[in-house]
Amino acid sequence: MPDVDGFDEFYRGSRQRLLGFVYVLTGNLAEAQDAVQEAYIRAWQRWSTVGGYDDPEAWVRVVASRIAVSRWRSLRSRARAYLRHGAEESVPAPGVDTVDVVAALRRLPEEQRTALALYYLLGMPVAEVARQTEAPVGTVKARLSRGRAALAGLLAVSDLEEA
Amino acid sequence: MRENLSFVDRLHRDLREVRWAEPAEIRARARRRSRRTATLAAAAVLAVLSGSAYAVAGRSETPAPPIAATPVWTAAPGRAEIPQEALLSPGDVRLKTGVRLGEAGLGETVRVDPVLESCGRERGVPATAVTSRSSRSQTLLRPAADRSALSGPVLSQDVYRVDPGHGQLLFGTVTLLLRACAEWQLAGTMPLKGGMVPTVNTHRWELSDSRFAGDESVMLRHRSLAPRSRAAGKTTEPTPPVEVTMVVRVGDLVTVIATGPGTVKDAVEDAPPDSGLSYPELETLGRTAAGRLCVAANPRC
Repeated sequence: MPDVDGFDEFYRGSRQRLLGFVYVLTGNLAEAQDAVQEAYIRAWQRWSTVGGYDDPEAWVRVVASRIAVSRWRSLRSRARAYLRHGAEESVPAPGVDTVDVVAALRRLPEEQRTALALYYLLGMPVAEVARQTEAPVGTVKARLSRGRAALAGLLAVSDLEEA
Repeated sequence: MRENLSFVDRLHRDLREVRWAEPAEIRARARRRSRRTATLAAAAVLAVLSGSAYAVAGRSETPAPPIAATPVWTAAPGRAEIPQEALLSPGDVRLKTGVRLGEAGLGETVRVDPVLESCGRERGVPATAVTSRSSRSQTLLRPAADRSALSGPVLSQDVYRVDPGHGQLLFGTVTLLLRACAEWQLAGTMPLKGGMVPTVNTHRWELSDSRFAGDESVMLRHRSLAPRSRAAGKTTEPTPPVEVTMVVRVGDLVTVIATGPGTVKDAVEDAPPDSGLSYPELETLGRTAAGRLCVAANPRC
């Protein structure tokens, strides 16, 4: 019998974080929400296994990221989002400042964007970012540094504190 | 910088408005998909055996079967399906509402307040989760024009059909939860100034009213205090609005009505007049909900 309560708590507690992460990776909020939702559906289908992981959120994050970055998927999810929600805007547009930063992030190489999202958005230490992206700590620091430099005009001082 | 907020804070503020599917809906979609996969696999085997595999292969987008079109049990006599008429209609609510979302389910756990139930688990309240035979849920969203000021729905309502005696068991559990969880502090984290800050969220529940509708009824008032940073003790977000959950039983039907942010006009909040439902209006709404349950309840009323 799958642990319904455990999954529900996990879903409620992590979905916002995950959405922010995927949105920063993709730059499209409706698409990010669709990918995140799909990842949770897959998580529930395997919850007897995924729920037992030390960090189930990492599993969902990887699945959601893979779904979101797939070109084929993104085209399909846009169509699905439209069909599901119709013309009504179910996902409010983020503010202008946020859109500016995300647009700038989209111009960065994927590894820099991922490092910035894991470090700033999810609050992971550099060592954990390195582990999750399978890169040396020094490389992660360099990616963060380059990413910060590229976004310097758009971010607040507190965003730019050194790793 | 254009405003004194970090990117992370801004992003989370922007994303707070996003409407999420309820966990039960995520689980139901997963279940439907598993069922559809199994159905297609069985159909494929039959098709291969009958030499018509091509016809089946072209139907991979067959819509999922409705979750609760017809009940599968036969043990209990009387009415089984829960029709839409057994739920509140938008006209029953004084506030303006927008799109109505709905879903039906089978074998769903009766949920009163997930946060209160989490507290109960932590405080050792015996787990007596009541599983419904069938259920129907609806969420009344705000009109699109009002969503810029307030997030979340106006209210959500679940109607569950439960086995004899389980309705009373549910009310007993609610009483135990209220006794155990008058106040609960929940540790968490919150994005602040570019990083995640450990916070403590305080929740308070109280019985606001009881026996105001149907065979049994309770009204729970849930007040959350503003989250505080554990290190600095400062509030990190505004105080969330008061939320009310009503549980009403009529025969074998139990309905749980939960208000959304800003739906309740509460004395502790600095809300303009007529901006939300007063407690007497909520009682009336509970009685209306009980009246609507009558069309589908066993025994009839």
